[in-house]
Parts: sequence; C-alpha cells; structure tokens
Amino acid sequence: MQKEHILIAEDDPGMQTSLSFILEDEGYELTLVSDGKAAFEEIQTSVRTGQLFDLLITDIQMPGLNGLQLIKSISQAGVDLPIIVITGYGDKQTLIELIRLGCDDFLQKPFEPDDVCQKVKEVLEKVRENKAIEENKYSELIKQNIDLAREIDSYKRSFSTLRKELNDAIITYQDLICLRENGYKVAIAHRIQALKDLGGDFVDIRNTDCGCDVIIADVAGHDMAASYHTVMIKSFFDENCRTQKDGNTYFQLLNHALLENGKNERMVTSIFLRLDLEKYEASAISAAHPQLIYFNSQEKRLDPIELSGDFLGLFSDVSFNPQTFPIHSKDRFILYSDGIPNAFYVDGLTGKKYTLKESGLFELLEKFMHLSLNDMIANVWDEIEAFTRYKQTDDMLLFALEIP
Amino acid sequence: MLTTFEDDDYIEFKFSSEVKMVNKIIKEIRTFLENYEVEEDNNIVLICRELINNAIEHGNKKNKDLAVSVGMTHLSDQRFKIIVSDEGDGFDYTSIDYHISDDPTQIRNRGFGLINSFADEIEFNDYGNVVTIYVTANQTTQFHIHEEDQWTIVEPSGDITAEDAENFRLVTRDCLDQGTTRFRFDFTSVKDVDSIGLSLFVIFSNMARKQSKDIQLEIVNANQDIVNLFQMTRLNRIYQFVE
Repeated sequence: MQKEHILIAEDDPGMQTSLSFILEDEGYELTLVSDGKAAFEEIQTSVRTGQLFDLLITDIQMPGLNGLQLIKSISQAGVDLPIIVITGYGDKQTLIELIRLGCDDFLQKPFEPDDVCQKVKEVLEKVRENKAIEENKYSELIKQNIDLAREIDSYKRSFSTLRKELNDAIITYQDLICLRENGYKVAIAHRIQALKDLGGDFVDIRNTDCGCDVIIADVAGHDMAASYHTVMIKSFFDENCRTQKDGNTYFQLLNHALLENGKNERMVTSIFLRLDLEKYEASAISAAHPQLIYFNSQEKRLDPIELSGDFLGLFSDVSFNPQTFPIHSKDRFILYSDGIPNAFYVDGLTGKKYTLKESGLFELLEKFMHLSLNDMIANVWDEIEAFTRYKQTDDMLLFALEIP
Repeated sequence: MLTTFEDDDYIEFKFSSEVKMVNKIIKEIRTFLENYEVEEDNNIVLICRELINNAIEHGNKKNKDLAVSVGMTHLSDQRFKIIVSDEGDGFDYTSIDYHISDDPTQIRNRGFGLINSFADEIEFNDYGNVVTIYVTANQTTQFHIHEEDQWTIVEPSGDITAEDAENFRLVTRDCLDQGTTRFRFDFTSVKDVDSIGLSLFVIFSNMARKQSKDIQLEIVNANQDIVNLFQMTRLNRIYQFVE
C-alpha cells in the first residue's frame, strides 16, 4: 500500500522535529512547512498535480496565515482534507470555532507520542470508512444510473421508431393528397396551410372525358384519424371520376361509407363540382360546406352559389340540393375551407375578436379578381395571412379554377 | 439588482441584465398571475421568458450595468398587457418575419414568431427597445356538473373545441355510467362550438341512446350562432333547445 502522506504546518522547530520523529517511525510520508501560507501553497499544488494529502496537522498560532485562516482558506477552496489541529491549553472559544469549520480532531499541547499516533490513526481510519461508504453509495448510484439510462434508451428507441413510422405515414398521406399544379383541362391555383402535419382539408381535381371533376372536403379534426377519412374521401372521388356517377350518388355513397367505417363520428363538409367543357355547363352539390363562389367573367361579378345540404358522416338519411348552370370561358370558381371565413385576430387593447367572415373573403376576391388566377390567389392569401397577424388557428385551404 | 413596484392590478420589476434573474422574475410573475386564477403553464409565462431573455441577451448584451424593466397590467378577466424595455440600442423590428418556420429548431427574429403566435398584439417603440404585448391567457374549458330537479346540468366554462374533446368525453361518460338519462347543457359561457365539438355531441347522443331509450337531452342559454349550427347539422332533432 502506498504510504499515507501527511502535511505538517508548525512554526516551532522543536515541535516540528518531534512530530516528524513520531510519525516517520509509524511509516507515514511527511511534508513539513513552518507557516500557514506555505501549507496552503502545498495544498494548492497537491490539488493541481492530483497528489492529494491524506491529512493535515496544523498549529493554531503561526506567523503569516494562522491555523484558523488556513482552515478557512482550505474550505473556501473546496478542498476535502482531514485536519488535526494542535491547540494550546483551554482555549474553548477557538475549539468551538474549529468544530464549526469542520476540523476533524485536536491535539492539546503538551502531548505524548502515543497520543499523536492514536489520533492520526483514528482520523485516517474514520476517513477510510467514510470513503468506503461514499464509494459504495457512488457505485450504487452508478448502477441506478445505468438502469435508468438503459430504460431511457429503450424509450428513445421506441419513440424514434414511432416517430419514423409517423413520418412515413405523413409522407405517404401527403403524397396521396398532394395536388399537381397543372395538367388539367382548367387552370388552377391554390394555397393550403395545415395546422398539423395530418390535416382535415382536402382538395382534388381530375380530368374527365368532357371536362373536370373537383372535390373539396373538410374532415373535422387534425389528427391521424382525420387523415384516414380524407384518404377514404379521395378514393371514393377517384372511383366516382371513373364511373361518372352524379354528385348526389357520390355523396350518398360517401356518407354511407363514412358512417360504416368510422367508430367515432367525424363530420365532413364537402363540395363536388363537375365541369362539362363541351356543353359549357357546371353542376355543383354541397354537403354543408362554406358557399361556393362563382366569378361571372361576362358580367365581371362575383356571386355566391346557394347550395343547401346536410353534413356527411353524421346521419344515415341525408339530402342535398344540387344545381346545374351555364358557364363561360374565363369564368372562375373559388372554393375554400371554413378556416378562411373563420380566420380572426384579437385586438390588443380591447380584446375584441374580429373574424374575416365570408363577406371579408368576398371583399378580398373583388379587390383582386381583375388579376390573373395565380396572382388573385397569391394576393388574397397574403392578405388573409396578414389579417390573422400570421397566427394560425385552423387548417386553411383556398382553391380557384378558371374555365379555358 | 432587483426592485419591485406593485399597485392595483399592476406590477413592475427593474433588474440588472443577468441571466440568473430570469427565473427569479418568472417566479414573481407566476405569483402575480395567481391572483387572477390564470392556469399554470400558460402562454403568458412563455412570452415573458422570451421577452426577458431578448432584453438581457440582445438588448443589453448581458451588460450587468444596464437594466431591464418588466411591467404587467391586468386588463380584464384573463387579459394582460406586458411592457418590457431594455437600455440597449434597439433593433429594426420592421424586418421581423412573423411566419413560424417549418423547422422548429430555427429560432429567428429573437423568437418573435413564437411570441406572436401566443400573443394578441405586439407593439414596439421607435427604437425597438420597448415592446408592448397584449395577451389573453389560454384557458381550457371545465365542465361543471350538478343535479337539479332530476336533471343533470352540464355547464361548460367556455367554448367547446378540439382542445376540450378529451375532457368533455370523460365527463359525459362518467354521467352515463351513473345511469343519468336527463341531461341539460347550459351554454351560458359557450360562445363557439367547433366541428370537433359538434361531433362530440353526436357521439354523446349515440352513446346515451344506446344506454337508454328514454334519454332526454336539452340545451339552454345558447346564442343564435350555436342554435343555427345545431339546426344546420340537424342536431336540434336530438338536442331540444329550451329558451
């Protein structure tokens, strides 16, 4: 075993010699200094080099830094060092101060060699015991830490697996519902902003033999379940484009499917618009969706098209009120989700809430309808975002098309 | 350094630009908010933390000799006005882009995108070193329940929207489990019911009717918008509106 290293701070040469005789005999390694300042420097060096002392024996009365000041400096420096103090006879006040400072034991002058050996042994033994307890505690803590780390690691792994699966689902979903910008028989422009990755707003358009079919739908909610309903609406729409059933049949089938397949009712609003570019005729049907807006290019005016109808996904008996009307080249249709008329801001000072409403959207469309389709949508969208002060509270979808 | 001034519905702190002050001030702000029954973990604390961090780091550049002051006024109910000023040179607040970045790790514009999304309105002085925020504390709707003449009265404390769905579901399920068949929803505090909220009423009525044929559902004190909404969705066939 390595010799235990004791630092002795003592200004009386006689006392220093006798202490060194006694302790060298016992097999300790000693460093001797004759004042507090030198002792503190030795301790600082030991901390720097990592060669720590096992014990400090110091006198109270020393020139320069005295014993008390030395102990204070050590504790301020945060050095953990067992200390035995050599005191004069009967200095009670000093003893109390020393105990407060955390000194480990005392040697009262005059002392016998056996006293010295006994005290040093006791203090070092106590230190060893404490160290063993600390090490035990530490290794126990390490063990707990490892267990915890393992647990966290397993959570992390299952979380990242889950996150990855969710990301894949989101990508697949977005691929599924993503709208191409061109390739249709009519020009389109749109903006969509989902509150969450998996949103409830959906718009799609498909070419048919004589024109285009368009669907806009809003499924209540912003979660994964809402996106399943959206995918179902899309697949029914695709199928309907192929079979060319009328809007009423499509909505009845869709309503049935939504009720059959949803354990929890999800209400859906929707507009289905069919454009016949040979007859120049449009037919529209709405399931409680915000109103369809029609821009008549000949009269240069915007009109809402009244289409009453029930919500989808709530009741088994639903009815709708489809309409068919003539259209002209350069006419436009504007479709949107309720997030747009419901867009709002709160005035700071008064706390009053201002909502865009359908009338607000109408005004914006009127302001920009003389622009190209793309510019009209871009400008209207910018103004809506500015109106809400860039705070998003719901899914928002704005879609427009122009008859060639 | 920290000095505090307090008056009716007003509190003000002035402190040195040290990071360690942030938590101290936030703690004081929480205590102030408790007076107005503002819920824990609300958007106000988040806004204050961002603003104070900004003032210390960007405004005063962590110069301990410069002070930050935070004033908070209770306006009404759950509405507050917060003024944070620093002694720095200010910044060009007109260049702030309030769009929230798609990448959540990107915090630009001193976090004002984030602050904006939680606040009603943001104003700056000319230099940009005094910012005023108006904010409404976010509240979750509570569903208070009591019995009255053999009716179970459900009283929502606010709007019924997607955020309150889980709470609504639990409360109404508990009532059904107890065998209640007469429900009266008191909409005195309800200004708005969103689409998820409506779905909840459909789900609830389906659950209730499965449980008992004699189920009676009433809504009282509803505003006209809500009455219209229930009519449009034909839910007024299931829920009787009582004046």
